[in-house]
Amino acid sequence: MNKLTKNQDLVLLAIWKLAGNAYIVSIRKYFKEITGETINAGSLCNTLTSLIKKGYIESKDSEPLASPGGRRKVLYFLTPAGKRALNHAYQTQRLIWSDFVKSGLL
Amino acid sequence: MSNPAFYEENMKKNKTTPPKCAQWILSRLSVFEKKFALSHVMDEEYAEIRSKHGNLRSWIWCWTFVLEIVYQYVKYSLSGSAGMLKNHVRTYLRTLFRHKVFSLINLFGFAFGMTCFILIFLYVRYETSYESFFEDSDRIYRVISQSPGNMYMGSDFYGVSPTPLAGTLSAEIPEIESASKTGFARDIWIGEKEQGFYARVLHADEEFLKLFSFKLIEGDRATALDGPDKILLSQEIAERYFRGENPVGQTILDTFTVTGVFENLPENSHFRFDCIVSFVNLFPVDSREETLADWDNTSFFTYVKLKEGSDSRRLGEKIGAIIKIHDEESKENIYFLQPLSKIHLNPHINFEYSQTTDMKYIYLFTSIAFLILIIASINYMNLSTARASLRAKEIGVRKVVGAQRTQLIRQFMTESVMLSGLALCLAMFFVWQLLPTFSSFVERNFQIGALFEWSMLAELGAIVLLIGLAAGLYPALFLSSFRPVSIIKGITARLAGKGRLRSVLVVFQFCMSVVLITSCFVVYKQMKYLRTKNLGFNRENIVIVRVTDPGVQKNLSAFKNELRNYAGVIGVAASNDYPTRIGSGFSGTYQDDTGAEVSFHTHWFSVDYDFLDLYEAKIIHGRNFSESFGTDSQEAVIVNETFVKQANWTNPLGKKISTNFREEAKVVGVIKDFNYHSLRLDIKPLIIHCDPDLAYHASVRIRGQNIPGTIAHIQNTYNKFMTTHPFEFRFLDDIYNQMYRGEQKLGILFGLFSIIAVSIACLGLFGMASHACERRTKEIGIRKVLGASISDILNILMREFTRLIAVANLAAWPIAYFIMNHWLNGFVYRTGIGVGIFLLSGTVTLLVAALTVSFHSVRTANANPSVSLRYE
Repeated sequence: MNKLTKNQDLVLLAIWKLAGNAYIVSIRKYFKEITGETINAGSLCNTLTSLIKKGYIESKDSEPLASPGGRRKVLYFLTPAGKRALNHAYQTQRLIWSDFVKSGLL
Repeated sequence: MSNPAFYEENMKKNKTTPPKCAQWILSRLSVFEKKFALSHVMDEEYAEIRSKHGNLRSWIWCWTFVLEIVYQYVKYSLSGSAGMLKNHVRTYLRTLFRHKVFSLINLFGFAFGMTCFILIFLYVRYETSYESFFEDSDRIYRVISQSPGNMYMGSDFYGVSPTPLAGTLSAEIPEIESASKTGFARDIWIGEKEQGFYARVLHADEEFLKLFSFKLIEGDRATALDGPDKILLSQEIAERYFRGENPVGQTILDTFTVTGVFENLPENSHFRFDCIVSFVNLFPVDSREETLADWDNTSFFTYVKLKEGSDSRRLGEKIGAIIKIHDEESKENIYFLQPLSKIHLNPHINFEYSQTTDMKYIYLFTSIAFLILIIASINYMNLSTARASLRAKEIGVRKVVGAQRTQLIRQFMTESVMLSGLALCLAMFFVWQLLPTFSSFVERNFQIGALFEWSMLAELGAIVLLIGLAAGLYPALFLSSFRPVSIIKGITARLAGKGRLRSVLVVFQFCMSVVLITSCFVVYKQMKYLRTKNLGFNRENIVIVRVTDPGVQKNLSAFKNELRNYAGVIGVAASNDYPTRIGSGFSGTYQDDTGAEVSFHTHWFSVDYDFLDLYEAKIIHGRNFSESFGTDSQEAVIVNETFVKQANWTNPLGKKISTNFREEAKVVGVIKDFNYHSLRLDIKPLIIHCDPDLAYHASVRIRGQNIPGTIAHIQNTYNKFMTTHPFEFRFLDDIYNQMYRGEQKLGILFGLFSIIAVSIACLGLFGMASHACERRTKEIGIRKVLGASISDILNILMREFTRLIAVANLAAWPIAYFIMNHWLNGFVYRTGIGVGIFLLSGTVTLLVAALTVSFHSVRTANANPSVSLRYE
């Protein structure tokens, strides 16, 4: 299984959380909410591209929106592989952090 | 603004959508747009930020957003194509190594072209960089004038202006920030007899250092030239004379106090001097006041610095008006302000501090540089398309597995840019090797460091890209247009096309080469003509010795007599000037046939009794000066034929001429016209006076044998009388040839350029011929089997190329004739161009081309048909 960078991790998480309404604007908002930092739209594009390449998410065009100008937006969904990856990431993180907690450094 | 209706309307006016331009940029990034619908993202977030933070913030946000996307997009596209780029590079390197001959031809063609280009480029950059090191150099001008009718050395423009002008201008014209005057620079002997040296001295007023930002190492800019008897030294002179002591405050040349030391002058300046001396020291102490206020004395340079935004053209007229108020005589003159940076590039102004360069030559060289690059690029185009079949399979396979045409184009463009990059490296190496020779040839001091300045590197990089793309575009379009089906079917023979465009390009290459060769021949012919033309006097074996030394001057007749007694010396004479240097601006009145007085301008020259005999000048009427008359040095004058023609005299002898030098002089003789200036100019009226005391130069005619011994004897004799100035001599022949140094260099440069152009063109021809022979191996085998002789086959193989060269010649001749005729028109005395030159250049190109082509043709024609037919 491929390792995920921190950004990919968080984006994946955001897509899961936003279930069905994950598109760039909402992902950026959520990201800001959790981390307090902004993620730039351009680099988010590249993160999404690599996640799509790995097969963790898929994109779907929405119906044309009513406003403004009848543009469409692109929504992202987790694939089963994506869910597994998220799960796996959680397990690893948990293991690492529990060691850290046990060591009494916290 | 609490009215809700107004608020709503206002909202409508202020669009809530992001700027159109930003939207357009996003829509161009098609991949991102398709995948991520970024314009929608921008719309939504923009509206939100706008409602929260208002106009300005949202505008800034919008553009940072777009910039970031563009940056990521570039990153994204590069990460996608890096693999492809690597593949292209690898494929190309393989191709390069597989076809070594062709790669080398292309590489060296480019490299030679670029070497020429870089050298010329360095030169042009240097020539156009003159004076740019001065602060505010764009606001500094020099006052120049045109005095219609008063021609000197082929031009009636003069760089000089009256003495009081500078002071008057800064006082009377508010647009002028400051104005300064300088005198002619002259060489002064500094130091003791043996250890001394010449230093070039410039006289300048106190404004000079404020106007020009010379770097002062010691001394105060404001006061350094304030008052008489002050001198500033260059670092070099200070070092040499004071040897490490602090020069400031010391005395030099008996009367001058050193008030400062300036950094050595950069070479890209029209100023050439080692010392600056107070302006008033030009004149004797008792007459300073009156000379400084004398508007008649126009032998000084006036520089002005304008305030920002002033109109220099209008000011020129204003200055002219001011001069005319003060000086009646200059009424007909027209005054201009010449920008400082243009001084070096305008050769048409009389009296300059240093040698100028003609802008015409700069344009000429630049166009030659580009021509040679074009010739090299054509090689690449021709060879790549002619040898298309070699790449056909690769192209076919790439297309079959899904390569787009744009991808193929990109691939071939990458290749040509790579090659031109490689060629640049090679060219830089050549330039590095050639730079010292080139520097001394053009008499400029180029440092290798100049090649590696950022601006230079950027420009070279741009050139690599430009050439790579220009040369690669056609082959890329051509190669990428192949249809995979026909390639795979094996119809490769037709791939190279009929090659009509290639023929046109070859014709173009050779046409340019022939133009260069012909020009080169014409320049050489003209140079030979200039060297051998009979000037009207005998200039062989004449040595000019400077006799301005006070000791020699006092004992001049003893000096002359002592020389005459030496076996190696045929004769000695003295004069104030020597041919090539004879001055003008002499005016007075002469008596015409009816006895009326007519005023005139003329060139003027003073000689002793022996001068005209020594030079073997021919007296056609009357007699030469002679001591036996006793009064010749007061009232005799000899004129040249042109003078007689101008004065319209039927009998010139005995006519009266009065000038401020000689109140009343009579014409005693008429001398046959001789060329006392460059052959570019026609012969002007000339008056010759006899004044044995006015002697600055001695002319010594020596025998052709043991020249060094004779020179040594002259030197020894000179040293006997010398007090301060050391012995200086030059051969008159050298002085004459020196005048045509520019043309001589032009000839050599044309020679070099045409050799380079022809060899690059021949490299290309060589490649084309070898490819043609390779392709026709079988055809020739069959022809031989059927009974063709070797000469038949050679005929077939060479005919094609010879025809191209012949066409190129026919096209080139009129062009060359037009250009060189224009060049020759710059000379009053010139040779004809003649058919011979065209035939010669035609034969040369045909021969060179035939030799190039025959290298392969002979081998192919001689090949055993059994071998060539077995091939495959």
